[in-house]
Amino acid sequence: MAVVGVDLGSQSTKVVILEGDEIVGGASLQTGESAETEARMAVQEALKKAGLKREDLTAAVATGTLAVPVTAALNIAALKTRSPASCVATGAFFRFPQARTVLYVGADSSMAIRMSPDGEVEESVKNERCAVSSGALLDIVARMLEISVEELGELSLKSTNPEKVSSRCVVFAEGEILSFIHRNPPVPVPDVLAGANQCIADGLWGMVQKVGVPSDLLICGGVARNVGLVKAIEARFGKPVLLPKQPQYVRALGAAVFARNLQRQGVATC
Amino acid sequence: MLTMGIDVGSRSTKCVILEDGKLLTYGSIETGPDIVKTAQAVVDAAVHRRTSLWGDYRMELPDVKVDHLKVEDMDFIVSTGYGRAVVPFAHRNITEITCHCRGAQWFVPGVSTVLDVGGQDSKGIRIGAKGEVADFVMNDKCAGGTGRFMEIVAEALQVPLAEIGPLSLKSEKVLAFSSTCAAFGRGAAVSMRKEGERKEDILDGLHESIANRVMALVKKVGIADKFVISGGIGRNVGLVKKIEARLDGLKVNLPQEPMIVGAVGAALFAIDLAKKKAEAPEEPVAS
Repeated sequence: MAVVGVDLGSQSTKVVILEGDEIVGGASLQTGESAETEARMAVQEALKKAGLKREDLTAAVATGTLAVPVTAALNIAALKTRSPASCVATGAFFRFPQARTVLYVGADSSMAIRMSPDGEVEESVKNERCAVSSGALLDIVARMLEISVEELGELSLKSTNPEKVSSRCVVFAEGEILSFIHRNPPVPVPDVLAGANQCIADGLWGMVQKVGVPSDLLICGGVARNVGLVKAIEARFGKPVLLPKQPQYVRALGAAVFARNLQRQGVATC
Repeated sequence: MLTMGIDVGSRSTKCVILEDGKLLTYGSIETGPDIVKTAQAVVDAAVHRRTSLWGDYRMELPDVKVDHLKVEDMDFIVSTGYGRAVVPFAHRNITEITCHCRGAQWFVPGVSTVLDVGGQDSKGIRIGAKGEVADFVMNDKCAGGTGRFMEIVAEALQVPLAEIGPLSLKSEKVLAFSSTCAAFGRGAAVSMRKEGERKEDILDGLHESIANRVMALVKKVGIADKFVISGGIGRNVGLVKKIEARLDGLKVNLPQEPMIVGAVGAALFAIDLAKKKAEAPEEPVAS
């Protein structure tokens, strides 16, 4: 009796398969042109990892910025969609029930969510109209410096003197960072990266403050894999944050938990 | 008397030379990483009557030889724009708000409100009864309401900047951009193209988004007759039309060459300062 959660993000599609309370499979694929195709392929890959067949899936929930009707593609009768915020909260609560505020940082969007003690969304602020508090700046900086996004975090920790980015707009920050690189002598790469991380952390911290600074803060979303950014948030928070091992899967996990609950309620009997 | 105004903007640099207050020549080039070199190059562009970025010349110039003119021939030079403090041969620098206010009145006497949208900022200026700056607002925090947004989308659609205005007028539907962020604009434009949408309709949506943004800004200083648009967007007919539609019946007064409004203002201030200098030659002029 397995269920699946599908998270259609702006840059990658994530899938988590749950059997009861156990995560039995997961997969992540780059988002390209057709959300349906990717969702289907990612589900297939996760099924392979779990050693299951499509017929074993009894319920599915989809979410994410590209939450499109993927029902036909997945061919699972009981497919529902849930809002990104509720999936983030549910996934975070599933892993860390003590978390009260969740900061989700995706490739293009971010949100801060305050939860009730039983994991319900109490208040959330989203940043989807402006790219500054998202992974967008990191993508730009990585491309400029020709290093992979995965390396940014570790490299930024070597910084001794972070170069402050004063722009509050990704487009302008790009120009500013370009001038750091072309300065004579150029600003060391770790200092550029640490500056970019701090710029993003400033925006994110503002969002956390809006929903209320909690006793326990959890960070998730693909950008949470950037250890430099997590450290920058921790510096503002004043203590360590809760960080799932694979933070990019939290939203898909939340969707899977919703699917499991549907199944238990009997809504999703096939 | 020869005076020069140089407006070093974030994207383009403009140079205007006036002879006794009448336009003698002007030119523009893209702003390079080295502002000192850019400033020298724009003088060359002006004396050879060259413009860039938005294409052809619009204003009639006197049919006299100007290519021999040099910086040393000027009685006074005023610089303005974001790079104004770095122009090595300027005798004085004055902020772009003040220069736009002055230049707008030269193009359109009796102007009350100026909307200037440049490469990386946009501003609204309210001009008082005596021609002074009564109030102004500026956006230099977000690229959403600036020329940069236009450039990013034009680049993504592979349409030259000078053509996006006319092209957008052929639109059949407005494809709204869901985000005001220019960084997302690129991705949004590309995915709309992938879905088979027309460039004309995407550009129409782009202009709608920028028009909403800049109108919200300029409303803060108050819109009154006469309303003038300056800066690079003045060359974008699609956007000018959108702005006019949001003016509750008022007409847009468009300077013939909207990009040089600030530089003209600087050159006009240079006349005043040259006269002052002539009256008190002993007094050193701060640069």
